[in-house]
Amino acid sequence: MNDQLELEFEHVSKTFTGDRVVVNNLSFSVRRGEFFSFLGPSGCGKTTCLRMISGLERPTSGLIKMTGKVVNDIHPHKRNVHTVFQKYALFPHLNVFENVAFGLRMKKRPAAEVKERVERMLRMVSLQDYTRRSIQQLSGGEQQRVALVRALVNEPAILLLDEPLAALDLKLREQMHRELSALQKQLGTTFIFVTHDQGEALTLSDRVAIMNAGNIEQIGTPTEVYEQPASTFVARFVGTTNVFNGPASAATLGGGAAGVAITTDGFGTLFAKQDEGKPRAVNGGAVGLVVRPEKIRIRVTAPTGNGHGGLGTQSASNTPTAISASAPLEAPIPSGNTVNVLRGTLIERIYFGPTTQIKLQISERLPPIIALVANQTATKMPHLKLGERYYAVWDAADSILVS
Amino acid sequence: MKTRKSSPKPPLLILPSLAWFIIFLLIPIGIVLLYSIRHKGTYGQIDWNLNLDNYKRAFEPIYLMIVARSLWLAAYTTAICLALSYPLAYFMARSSDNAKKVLLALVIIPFWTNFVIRVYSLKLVLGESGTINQILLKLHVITAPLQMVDNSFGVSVGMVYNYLPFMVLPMYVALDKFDFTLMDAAYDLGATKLQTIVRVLLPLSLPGIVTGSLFVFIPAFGEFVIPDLLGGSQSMYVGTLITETFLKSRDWPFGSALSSFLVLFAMAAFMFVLSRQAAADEAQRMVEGPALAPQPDTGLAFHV
Repeated sequence: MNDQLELEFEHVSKTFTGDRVVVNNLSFSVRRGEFFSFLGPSGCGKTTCLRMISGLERPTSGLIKMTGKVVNDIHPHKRNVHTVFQKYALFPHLNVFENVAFGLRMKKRPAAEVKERVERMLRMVSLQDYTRRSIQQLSGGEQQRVALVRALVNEPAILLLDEPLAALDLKLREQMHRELSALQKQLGTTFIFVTHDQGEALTLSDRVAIMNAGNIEQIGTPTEVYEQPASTFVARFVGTTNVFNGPASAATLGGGAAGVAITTDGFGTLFAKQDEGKPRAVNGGAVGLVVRPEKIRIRVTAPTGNGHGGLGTQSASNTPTAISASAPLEAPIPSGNTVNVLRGTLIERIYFGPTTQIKLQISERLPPIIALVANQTATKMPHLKLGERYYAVWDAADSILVS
Repeated sequence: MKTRKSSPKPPLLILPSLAWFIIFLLIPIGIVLLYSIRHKGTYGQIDWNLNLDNYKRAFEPIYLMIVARSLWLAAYTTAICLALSYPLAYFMARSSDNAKKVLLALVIIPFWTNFVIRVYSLKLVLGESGTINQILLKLHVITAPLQMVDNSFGVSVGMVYNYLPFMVLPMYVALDKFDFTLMDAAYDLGATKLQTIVRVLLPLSLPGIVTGSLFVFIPAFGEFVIPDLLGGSQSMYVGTLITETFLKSRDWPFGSALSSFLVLFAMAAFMFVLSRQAAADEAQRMVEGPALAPQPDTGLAFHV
């Protein structure tokens, strides 16, 4: 990957008939050799973005640039961009070889060159013995690979992938993830990938753009969009999450760090660390506090210490309990850290294998808290019983503030 | 609740249609074939001296001319129907589901009108004092009415008008199943509009083209009502020839021979298309080795 810009969107909007705005004033850029993903629910405009890059749709306003040149009016067949379509769109009347050769034949390349390049690409995806097979005789994964090399054989500057793995089963999808990554690194081609599968986007991409209703909510590395979501939408869409809303005010956390206190409706006051260099609207401004399920620890007894947020300590304050060293769920909380504590009834327990997801009902009228417990030892599981009351504890530093 | 009885065996179920097929198709064809080798005697009676003279007679130049004219009529009717239907069927296939229903109904509705009435109404529209001539005269585009019926022009219009739905429907069925993202894929791979049509759209809609062409060509070749009503007295086609031989010359043996040729022609055309299709499939199998998965049904040609 280098710093040269392969693709730039400058204030690009697309409106379909009936004034339906599908893509709203998007500006972003993609570097050469980058694996860039559009992630969003269906209908968020990500496929329209892809079609504008390939030239199958024209933007209503704004500029699309490739290597610095405006390409708005350039017909798809003149762009050095190729697409792997959602359901592959392989030509059923042509065999594997002719499907892959299609683009080269359209460019009227000499027969020897066509043969050489097509066979080289098919070897790359281990389909060299399938040249004369018809498309109907291929499995889903094989069709997927044909679709991939049919685009790549033309040596595009940008390869667009429109949910190409959606039709494959899980095992095959994971295998294709590895193949795609390897292929992309080997060729150094800029990949622009569209998906509604957040796991896929996080696994594959250098950067992810999270889209919602025609807007980009956030662009960042997989770690950034997961650990520092810019909005409630991003937090909810990328991974499972707990969101608390309420007016914010400045607070000082344990250890003297700058923090934010959020007065929630029903969950008490919750604390979050004020990130440096990220000024947030405080003093009455409504914000969201996000915490990932795996950041929450489940405890049988109330934690002790200073500066706790939430409801748990208040309700349990009448009968303060010491942390039992033998309780397997308990990990000592470093003194000086501000933690949030909520207490609730275990209403759901889903065993995932490596982890168990549980739901704690704090109160009838509030959504339950979701927590993820690592199943590090087989003996841990029986301690979590449905109907029992537990404490959910997390560090203020693990609370993420979103707008 | 009573348990369901097992359904009757298939052979019993096909009996009614088999009987229909034998009584109303095979036996009449047998009778026609038998008549075709008998002869009309001096006093109009039909003799039993069996030979192939009637078939030989069909090859006399005067009859070959009529056959050639009919072939030409069928050929250009098919060609015009094809040219008109393809864009229409394409447009229908790309329309919204509701628009499809309306368009399909518009194509089919004329079928609910009596055939002869439809052809006669054309005579009114195209005739010397018909709608078109009246309008053109009023607009001073022409000074004398155009001769549009009782000639080959009238026949052409009638043929195309009447056979168009037979072409549109199979073509629409083929294009409706067509995956239009394949056209996007072709553009994406660098194909121009023309290349996309020639390399992707046409090959994949070929079954519809073939079926539609058969549906038009075969009946058009034997058509006799339209030339009779719109063609005036001078135009003689195979269909008109056969009717006249039976009804005017009352030469049943010769008419039977001509009819047999017509049936034979239709069968030959159909077999030709089928064998081409089978040969193409076979060729595909040869290059691919043993089939790994069942071939999907790609052809409409088999359903005629």
